[in-house]
Amino acid sequence: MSIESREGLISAQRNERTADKLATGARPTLVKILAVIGLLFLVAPILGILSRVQWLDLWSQLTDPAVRDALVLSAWTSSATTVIAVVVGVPLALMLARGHGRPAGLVRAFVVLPLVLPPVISGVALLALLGRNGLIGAGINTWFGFTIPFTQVAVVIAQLFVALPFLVITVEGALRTRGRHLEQAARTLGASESRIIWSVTIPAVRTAIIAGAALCWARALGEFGATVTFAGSFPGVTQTLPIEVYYSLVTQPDRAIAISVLMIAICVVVLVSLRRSWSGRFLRDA
Amino acid sequence: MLASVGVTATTGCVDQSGGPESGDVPASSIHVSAAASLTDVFTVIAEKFEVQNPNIQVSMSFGSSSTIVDQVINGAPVNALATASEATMNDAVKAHVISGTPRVFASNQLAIVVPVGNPANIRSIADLGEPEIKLAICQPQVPCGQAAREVFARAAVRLVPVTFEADVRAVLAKVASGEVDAGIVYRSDAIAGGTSVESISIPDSTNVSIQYPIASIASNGGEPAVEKFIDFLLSPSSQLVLADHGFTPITAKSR
Repeated sequence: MSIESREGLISAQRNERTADKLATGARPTLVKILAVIGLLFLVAPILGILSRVQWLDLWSQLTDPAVRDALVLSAWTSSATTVIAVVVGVPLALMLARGHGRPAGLVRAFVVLPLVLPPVISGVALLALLGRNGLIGAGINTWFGFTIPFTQVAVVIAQLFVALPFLVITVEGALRTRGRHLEQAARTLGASESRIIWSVTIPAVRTAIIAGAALCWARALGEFGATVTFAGSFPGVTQTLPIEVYYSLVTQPDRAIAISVLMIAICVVVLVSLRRSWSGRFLRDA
Repeated sequence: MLASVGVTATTGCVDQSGGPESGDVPASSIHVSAAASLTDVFTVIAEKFEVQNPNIQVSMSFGSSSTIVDQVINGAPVNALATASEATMNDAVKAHVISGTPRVFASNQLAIVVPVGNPANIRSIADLGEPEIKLAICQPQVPCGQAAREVFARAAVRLVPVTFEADVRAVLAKVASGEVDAGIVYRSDAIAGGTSVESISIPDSTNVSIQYPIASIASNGGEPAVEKFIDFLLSPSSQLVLADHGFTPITAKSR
């Protein structure tokens, strides 16, 4: 094992040097100019919103009861979403990483679909399935006298639908790019398949699971279209932070901007804390 | 001429190619930003207007009154603004983006809409106060939400919606899908909902009436064409179209 890992280390260092050379290679002026335009396009709107912030009453805006309600609701629903996403998403990633051929490709297409689907369509799809007259929702209503839309359950379902793929593809990517030899070694030592998953596979992709969960949480926190379509909007029940931003944009723009800054700050914290685990390791592995 | 920019240059998403063309009247295109409840009726009226004025192209966009006012104040390339309340129009007037005085061209009242078949058997506003009834109304920040609150206050009925929607069309969609038992929308929206919803009228004693003003936007040019459009809107033929769509024509009401 030690020889193998040393060899691996040497080859990794060699790869890194080649990558460095490529990265510092000549870049034509045109490429630089276009890159700066691209970067400005992404950064300038954030600066724009920061320029509008009333820093002095930022705190009073964010501690307003209506904002606090939305903040608490968003925090716990996206956390619940993330827990469920890890529980069902990691197994899904395991299956996807092991599958190949056309069926696996088809399954993967369905898994990534919510990433590219307009969220409002996700909301319509969820209504069609779980709404009061939906495919399953109608049955739930008749049998249990319970309807899902306009409840916090609906908020979590909407968030899960759009955010789960982030976790699945992050974990699946990590699983695919690492070799299977550790599992094979464990198998030759007589470990059961479930023990291999628990003590070898999952610890090996721990970083990717954390990264995927963080991305999933951030996406759930920002969910708007599917939530407002499927769960509606009621203060303290289904009115999450992004909905609060959208509704207060007109009558209380300062509040909308204060919440926006808060959400940008949260996303920056998530991304920065992922920087080491994600760009530093996960991406290089891939 | 105060506006240094031409109409077509400022109407962004409309017609980029057409400048003033040859002919006795300069061709122009105007963009009208209107309240969501005007979606259907303005589309019909604009078509008729274009037939009568082939040199003027009308494009339109719709949204909640407070949103479109906000967009205009923030410099949206719009030539005319039609809102569903005088209060929201006043915000635009106060922000000095309006040229001239807004003119009221129609009014509207609220109505109850229910899914086809009226599953919860709603008959009046009083039924909507029952706790098991799922009700959708507009968010309080937009005119239809304020009007709904007023109607419930007048009828002395407890207002407990399950959801506050962004605008009337969103309320209508929640009702049409059967996710709620009832919604409060404008009478015109109840008609626009066609066969996807059933409507129940609210008696005049508890109903509120909202006014629809339209105005020309100061900095974006195109005032002559906009004036023509506003005159057309107030003409008897357009008032008939408005009445067909559930609005109260302004000529029928004492002003």
